[in-house]
Amino acid sequence: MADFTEIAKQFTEYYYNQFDKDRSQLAPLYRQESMLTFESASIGGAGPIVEKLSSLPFQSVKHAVSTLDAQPSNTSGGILILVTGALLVDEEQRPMNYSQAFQLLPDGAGSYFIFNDVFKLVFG
Amino acid sequence: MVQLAPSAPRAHRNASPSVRGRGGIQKRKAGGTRVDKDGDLVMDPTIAADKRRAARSQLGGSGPSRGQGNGRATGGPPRGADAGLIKAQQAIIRGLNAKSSQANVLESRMTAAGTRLQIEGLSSSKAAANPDGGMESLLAFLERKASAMDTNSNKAVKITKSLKRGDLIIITAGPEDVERIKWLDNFSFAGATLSIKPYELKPDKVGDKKKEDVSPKAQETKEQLRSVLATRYNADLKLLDLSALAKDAGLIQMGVFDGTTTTSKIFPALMVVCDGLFKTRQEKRDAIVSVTLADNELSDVADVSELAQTFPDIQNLDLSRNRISQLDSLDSWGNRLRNITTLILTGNPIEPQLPSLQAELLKKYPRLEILNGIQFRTPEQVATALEVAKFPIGNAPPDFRDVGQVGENFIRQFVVLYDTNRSALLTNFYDDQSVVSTSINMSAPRGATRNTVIIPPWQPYTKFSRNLVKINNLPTQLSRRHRGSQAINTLWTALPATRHPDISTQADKYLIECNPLPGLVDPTGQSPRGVDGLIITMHGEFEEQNDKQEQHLRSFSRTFVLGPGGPGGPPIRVVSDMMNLRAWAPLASARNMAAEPVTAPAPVAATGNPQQEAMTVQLVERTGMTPNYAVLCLTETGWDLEKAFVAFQLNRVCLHFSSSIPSIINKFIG
Repeated sequence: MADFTEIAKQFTEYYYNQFDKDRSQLAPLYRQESMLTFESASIGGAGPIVEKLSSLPFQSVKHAVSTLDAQPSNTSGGILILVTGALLVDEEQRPMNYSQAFQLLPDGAGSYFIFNDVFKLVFG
Repeated sequence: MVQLAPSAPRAHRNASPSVRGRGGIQKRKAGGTRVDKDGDLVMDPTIAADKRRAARSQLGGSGPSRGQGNGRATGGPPRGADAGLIKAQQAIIRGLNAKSSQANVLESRMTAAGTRLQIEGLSSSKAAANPDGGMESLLAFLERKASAMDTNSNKAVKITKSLKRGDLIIITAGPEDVERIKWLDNFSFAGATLSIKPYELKPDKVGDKKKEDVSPKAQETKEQLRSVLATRYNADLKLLDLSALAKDAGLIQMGVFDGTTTTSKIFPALMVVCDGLFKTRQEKRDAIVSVTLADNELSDVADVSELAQTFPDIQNLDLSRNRISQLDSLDSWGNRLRNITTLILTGNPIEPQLPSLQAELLKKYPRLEILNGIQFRTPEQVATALEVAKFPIGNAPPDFRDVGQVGENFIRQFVVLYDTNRSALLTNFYDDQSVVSTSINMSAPRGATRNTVIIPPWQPYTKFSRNLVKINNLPTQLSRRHRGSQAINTLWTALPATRHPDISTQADKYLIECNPLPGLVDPTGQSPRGVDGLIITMHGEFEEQNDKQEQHLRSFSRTFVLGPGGPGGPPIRVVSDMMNLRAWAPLASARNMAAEPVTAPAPVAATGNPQQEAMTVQLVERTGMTPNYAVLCLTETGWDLEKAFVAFQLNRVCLHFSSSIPSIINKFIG
C-alpha cells in the first residue's frame, strides 16, 4: 500500500490550495459516485458537487489547516482523512472553525478520488 | 502636525492641563481667545467666518446659507428633520459622553512614538526590485509574521499606515500590534535583516518637517490649509465639511485653483493636514463622524480617494450634487469605508438608479442604513445582516441520517462509557481491526466573544498527538496510530479521565452528524464490493479530570466510522475513531440547532396517505423515534403498526446490549 499519510497530506494541500484559488476547478477530484455533505446538504456526483461549492456565497476564501489525521479506511487503499482548521472568508477577520472528513479511494489508475466529503462548521 | 512657530500665540495655553490649543483643530469654546493668522484655530464659526470671509457660514450652523442656498436641505447627514439628522444627533450625544477622548483629539501634536515603528533593511532586500520597491511584500510579511507571534490572540496584526522615508519604512499600527511587530526585529526578509525600532521623534517626522526642510512658503500653505479646515469643522456635529472646495474663499485666496488645478490637487493636501491632527485612528473616529463632499463636481472619487485612507471610520457621507453617474465611480475608495451608515447621493446622475443598486451598495457599505435620507434598514437589521455575513456558509442544523438507529445508539453509549468504563466500550464496539488516533489543535480560534476559559495543559495528549501537519517522522506517525482493542486500551488508559455532558439533557452541548458510508471492508469477506456503514462526526466538549482533581473543559471533534463487525466480534464495530482536541470554545451553532441532536431534522415525513401518516404519528408517540425512521420502520414491516413496534423494540434491545440479532445487522449492512 502506498504511504497513505503522504497521500493524505498531499491531497489536503492540493485540495485547499485549489479550493482557495478557484474552487470551480475541483471537479477532477470527484467522481460520479462521490458524495458531499456540506453543512447538512448532501450532494452526489462530481458536477453537482462542484456546482454547490462554486455557488457558495463568498468570493475569496482561505483555509488554514490546523490538524490533519489519516487512517487507511479499507484494505483496497482507501484513506480516511480528518482535517480541522480555520476558514477566513472575504474580508471577515474572524476565523471560523471547521472540520472536514474525507474518504479517498484509489481510482484504479494510480490516483485517488474523493468518495466522501463531510464538511461542517464548528464554531468556537 | 504642524509645529507651531515658537512665537505663535497659543490659545488657552493655561486653560486646562489637557494641553488644549497646542495646535490643530480646536473645539468651539465660548468666549475663547481669537485666533491669530498663524496661530491656533478656534472652531467657532462666527469667529472663523469673521476672520476668513464674512459670507461663509458653518455648515449646520445658524448663519446664512452659502452659495447653493437651501439645496443642501435635501440631504446631508446633519441637516433637515430626516433620519440622517437623528442619526447624526445620536452620534453627537455619544460623542458628548466621551469628552475626555475629544480633549485628546485636541492634543493634535504628534507624539505618537508608541504606535509607530521605523524599519530598516527593505532597500537591501531582494524585494526592493519589486515595482513598488518591495513595500507591499514587506508589509504583508510583517503582518503575517507578527500575527503568528502571539498564538493566544486571534486578532491579526494590521499595519494601518506606511510611509517610505529614504531607506526607512515608517509604519503605524495599534499599540498591541506594534508590540508584536517589534518582536520581528532582526528577522530576515528577502535576504536582508530587518531592524525594527520605535520611530524616533525626529523633528523631520511625518507632517512635522524640519524647519529648514520646509520653505516658509510651504509652512505658510500648511497653516492656511489648517485655517480652511478649521472653518470647515463643526465639533458639535463632528462634521468635516469639504463641500464646494472650488468656491472656498480661503482656498481661492491661496491661489491653489490657479489655472486648471481643481479639487484633485488640494484634496490630498487637506487630508495630509487632517492626518497630522490626530494621533490615533480612535481620535479621528471620535472627532469626525461625518464628512460632506457635496458640490465638488466629482464625476468619480479618484480625486478624493485619500478620504478613505484618512477617515476610514466615518459614518455619514454626503456626496450631494456631484456628477456621479454609476457605482463604479466610487471604486477609488475600494471597500474601505465600511462604517458608513448614511450615504447621500442626492443630485447625482446616479440617483434614479439607486433603488436597484441597493444590494451593490451594501457590498461596499455593509452598515448602510440611510440612503438619501430614507432609512431602509434598522440598526437591528444591519446587525443581523452582519452576523449572517460573518458566517456566509450558513450553519445548518446537524444532519443526522441514521440507519436503524445504529448511530444514535452508538453515540449514547459512547459518551457514557468513555467516561465511566472504557474497557466495556472497547468490548462493545471495538475489535482487533479498529483504529484510533488523536490529535490536538492548539491554535483553534476560540469563538467570537472573549473567551477566558483556562486552557489546561496539553501535556497529557502531546505524546499521542498524530497531527500530520506537525508530525513528519514515519515511526512516530505509525506508533501514534492505535490498531486493535489492546493498543486502544493502552492509549485510553493513558489519556485523562473525562466527563461528557449528558446527551439527553444537555443536547445543546453537542453537534452530531451521521451519514451512510458505503464501501467498507466486509469483515466476513463475503462482499467484494464492500459493505455499508456510517460516518459520524461529533463535536462537543468534556470536562477533563487530572491529578490535581481540578476539572477543565476542552472542546473536541470526533469522527467515527462504524461498520458491521466480524465473526465473533461486536455486531457493530468502530472501524476508525479519530479524536481532535482543542481549547474550549462554545459551539456557536446552538441558536439554530435542532433541540435534540440525535434525531432527524426533518418534520413528520409526509407519505400522502392519511392512514399511514396517522400510523406514523402513533409509532412516533409510542417509541419516541424520529418520524422519518418511523416511516422507514413501517414501510419495512408493510405498514403494520404492531410489527413495526416489535421491530423497533428488537432494534433497541439489540443495540443496547450489543447482542447479535442478524436481521438488524443485515439491515445495517444493507
